[in-house]
Amino acid sequence: MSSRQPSSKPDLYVVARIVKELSDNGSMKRTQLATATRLSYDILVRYLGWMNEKGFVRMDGEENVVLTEEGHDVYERLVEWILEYVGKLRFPRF
Amino acid sequence: MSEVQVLTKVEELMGALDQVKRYKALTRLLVDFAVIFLAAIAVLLGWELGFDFYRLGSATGCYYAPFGEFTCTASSAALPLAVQLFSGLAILLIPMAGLLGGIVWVDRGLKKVEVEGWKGVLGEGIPGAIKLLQELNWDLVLDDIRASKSGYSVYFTVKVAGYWMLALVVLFFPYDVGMSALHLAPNMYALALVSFVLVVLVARGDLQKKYRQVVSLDNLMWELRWFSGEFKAAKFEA
Repeated sequence: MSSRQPSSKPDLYVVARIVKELSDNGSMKRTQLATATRLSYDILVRYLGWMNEKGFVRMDGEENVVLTEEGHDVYERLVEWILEYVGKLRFPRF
Repeated sequence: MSEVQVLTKVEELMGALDQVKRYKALTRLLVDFAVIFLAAIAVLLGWELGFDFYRLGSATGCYYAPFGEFTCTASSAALPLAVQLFSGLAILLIPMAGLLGGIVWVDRGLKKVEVEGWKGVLGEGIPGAIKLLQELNWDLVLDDIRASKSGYSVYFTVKVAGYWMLALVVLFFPYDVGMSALHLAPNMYALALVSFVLVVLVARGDLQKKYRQVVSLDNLMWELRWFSGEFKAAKFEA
């Protein structure tokens, strides 16, 4: 897997899309993942490189991308954070 | 809480912000409304002045009546009937046209406000919710809520004033007839006071609702100020 990283700070939205696809579908080929996340192949590879370095994804023997436990945990923590904070908001009924 | 609950909460947040957008647009549109209505009053004044000058210019039927009033009468008979009729009703028709024009303008403007554009993004699930939260310009959102609050308060005042004027016009004729029947002089101050009390009584529910909406906007601002602080402080980069 390429070790190239996203050119600037990774977009949390893109990371979340990749993780969600992997979480929903299990392991996926990079081309499949690019289609599912509507990312260009090059950008996907850069994100996967960054996520691999962080330990969120890994490649299996058949060159499929797999979400690691850590990747799953980070996504869960992010969801929990949104739940915790957005959940506290009380919106008026206009 | 599940993913569905997160999405529901974010949907509520975005819905509340859409409402803020509408209120903010209303603030701007109320200025347009005032301009349209004042333009109608200017047209009315222009019409009345023009009509009086025409009658004055025709040099018949104008005289100083007792108590120093300058009155023109018969000369307008030379004008087409439609113009005479319009002149008689202009004081009612032109401001009403201004009022209706203003209402239609505000209504059109409010329909143009782009809302619910976020629904497609939220349809992506949690990533969509993250995108929406990430892209919110919190400083702008808080400014918008502040502007909406004052705009909504002005709208609330204008609405009450409008109802009051309407009540005055509607009550004037029966009141005048009643006072004439009793051989008493009409008291406009009393009529204005009674109209105001009636408006407050009839529109009480609506007024309470509007007041609660202003308070709601205030609460929303405090809630979002807290949330934006938390969101900015959160370290999402792994």
